[in-house]
Amino acid sequence: MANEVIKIDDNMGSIRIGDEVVSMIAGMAATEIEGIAGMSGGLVEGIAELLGRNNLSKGVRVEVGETEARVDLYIIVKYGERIPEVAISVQENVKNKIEEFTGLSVVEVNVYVQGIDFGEDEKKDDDRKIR
Amino acid sequence: MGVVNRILLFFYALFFGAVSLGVILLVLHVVPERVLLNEYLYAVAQWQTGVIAGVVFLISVHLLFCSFSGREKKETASGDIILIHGESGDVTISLGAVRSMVERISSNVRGVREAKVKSTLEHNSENGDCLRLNIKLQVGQDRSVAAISDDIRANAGQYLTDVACISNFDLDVTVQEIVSGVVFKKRRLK
Repeated sequence: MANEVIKIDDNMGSIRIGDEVVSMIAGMAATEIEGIAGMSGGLVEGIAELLGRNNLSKGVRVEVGETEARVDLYIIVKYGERIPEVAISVQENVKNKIEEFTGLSVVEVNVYVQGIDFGEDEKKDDDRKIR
Repeated sequence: MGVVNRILLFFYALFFGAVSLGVILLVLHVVPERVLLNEYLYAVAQWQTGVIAGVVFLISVHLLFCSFSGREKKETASGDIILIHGESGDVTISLGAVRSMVERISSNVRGVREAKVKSTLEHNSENGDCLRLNIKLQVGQDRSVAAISDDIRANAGQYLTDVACISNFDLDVTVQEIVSGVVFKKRRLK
């Protein structure tokens, strides 16, 4: 079984939450922020996406303990958006969502801006030819 | 240590490793003295031996200087720039992202046909990290080079300062080629 983050034992049984779930929560919380074009994943995640698999934890690395978590996010920001403001919003949203859904205390959310997205319109018709 | 110095050190270490192995074999009398003397006399008679010794000497001097030089500056062509270092975590931007951003901004300036950007991060113990961007341009004849260069420096500088919030940077604009000819945009119909 995958690494488990939280194990809550009460009278009715136990609740186990996998760290993959924390990654997904972080990924979803990050992409909610206006200014985020997407998450930047590695080769494996890229291939998985090409095969049609929707990877909600793409570009997310989590390190979890019994009560605390550290999150690393690899993001792509939209062109024109003020990068530090977007990143701070991502940090706050990810921290709040993880703490709300899992009860973990998020000690650190590190944001790594891996690229800038210039938008689909600019990519489409920049075909130049010099005679 | 740079790549070139690493390569030199590799061959240098290999050479002296072989020499020391030879000495060990001699001490253990694995190689007879007669054979050794014969080889020695042959080697010193060749000019190639002198050349090799000269090269080894020069590499020795070079590596000696490298070991004593206290470089204050160190440049890296890849890595991340820390924008925020806070309690909640760090916010960094990769050099690749900055490079693509400046390339795009430069390419959009009127008169620019093509722009290539080389970015390095200079680590300086005295003045802090400095981002160096070398923008190489291919421009047309429809606009003056000075005006193009001014626009690029203004636009890229503004973006780095206002949007990316990078304050310590250096922009060098180099016009590599001036091309002539009519440029037309081929637009796809929607």
